[in-house]
Amino acid sequence: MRDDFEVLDDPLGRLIDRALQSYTPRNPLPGLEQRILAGVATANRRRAPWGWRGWNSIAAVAAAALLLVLVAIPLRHRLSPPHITVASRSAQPAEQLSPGALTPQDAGQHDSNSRAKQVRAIKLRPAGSDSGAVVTPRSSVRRASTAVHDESMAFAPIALKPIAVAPIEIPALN
Amino acid sequence: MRNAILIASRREPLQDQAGESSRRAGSFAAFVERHAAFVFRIAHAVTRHAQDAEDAAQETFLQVYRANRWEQIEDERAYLARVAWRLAIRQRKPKAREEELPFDLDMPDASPLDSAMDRQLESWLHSRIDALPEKLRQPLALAALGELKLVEIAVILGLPEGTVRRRIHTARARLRLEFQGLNERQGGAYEG
Repeated sequence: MRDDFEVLDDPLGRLIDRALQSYTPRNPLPGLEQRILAGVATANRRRAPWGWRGWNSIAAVAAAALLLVLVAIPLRHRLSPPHITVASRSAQPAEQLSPGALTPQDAGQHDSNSRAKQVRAIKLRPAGSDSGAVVTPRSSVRRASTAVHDESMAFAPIALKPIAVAPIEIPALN
Repeated sequence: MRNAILIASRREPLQDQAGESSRRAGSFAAFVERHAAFVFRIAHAVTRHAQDAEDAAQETFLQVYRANRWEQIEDERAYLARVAWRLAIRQRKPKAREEELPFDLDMPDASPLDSAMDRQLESWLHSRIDALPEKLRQPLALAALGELKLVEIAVILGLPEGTVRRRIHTARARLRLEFQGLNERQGGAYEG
């Protein structure tokens, strides 16, 4: 201390020096290192009860769940049945259009000879019923879907109410 | 043979991890061994309480361990002194009103009693050091350790070297004045 700091080298200065030397204990109580190491270990355990492995497993589970969701959403869309839209529909019920009308369940079985049935349907159709708006479904699948579509239409009939229109009277003409 | 290689390759990272972990634990233990007493003294210079100083020392090493960089510290003592000082300041309880110890300088000159008087005088001076304002007491206490150079104390306290020197000088001058006042009150009993 005396090397670095200017101190008065008198009895009082020496007394202060002595007092300063004994101001802080030279050595701590024995076993300080062990106590520090034990304290550090305890504090560390208390701070992270899960440990890095615990957090890693949580992160892995979360990542797996996210991956599952990302894979499942497009797969679900791919597996859902295609929506069949009918571009044209017959004015008559499907049963009348073709005597051998098929239900959707039958459609698969009869798909192979659909062409022959279509020809038969055309032959059986009464003459004069072939108006321009009527289009015969070409395949059994189409026929089936048309039938389903027509059935759903039959459940919701459109009621048309007559509209009363008053005659227009123009006095100049009378 | 192939299975043995597979097993060996699976075990290697774990063994490496365990080896590295034990090496680091050993390195940290050695680090604590080297500096524990020094850190304790720094903390004690601030807190003036053995248990508080030990707590501060423990907290210092815990911080270093969590920062995980005791192997990369360039000047270990300066770094630890700075951390310990900061933590000890936090640990230090608010200073109670310092009571001046009763002290009688008018003692017989018998030599066995000289040392007793010196001890009494020392503890009186300690109480006076404790009563100094912190900005004067801390540089003086750190200098009193006798282990730090002026420039190191300046780094620890975050002050210019000249300021630290001036504060230490002021602190000593105050102690002198107090002692001279006491001596005068006692009729100049202390001759040195």
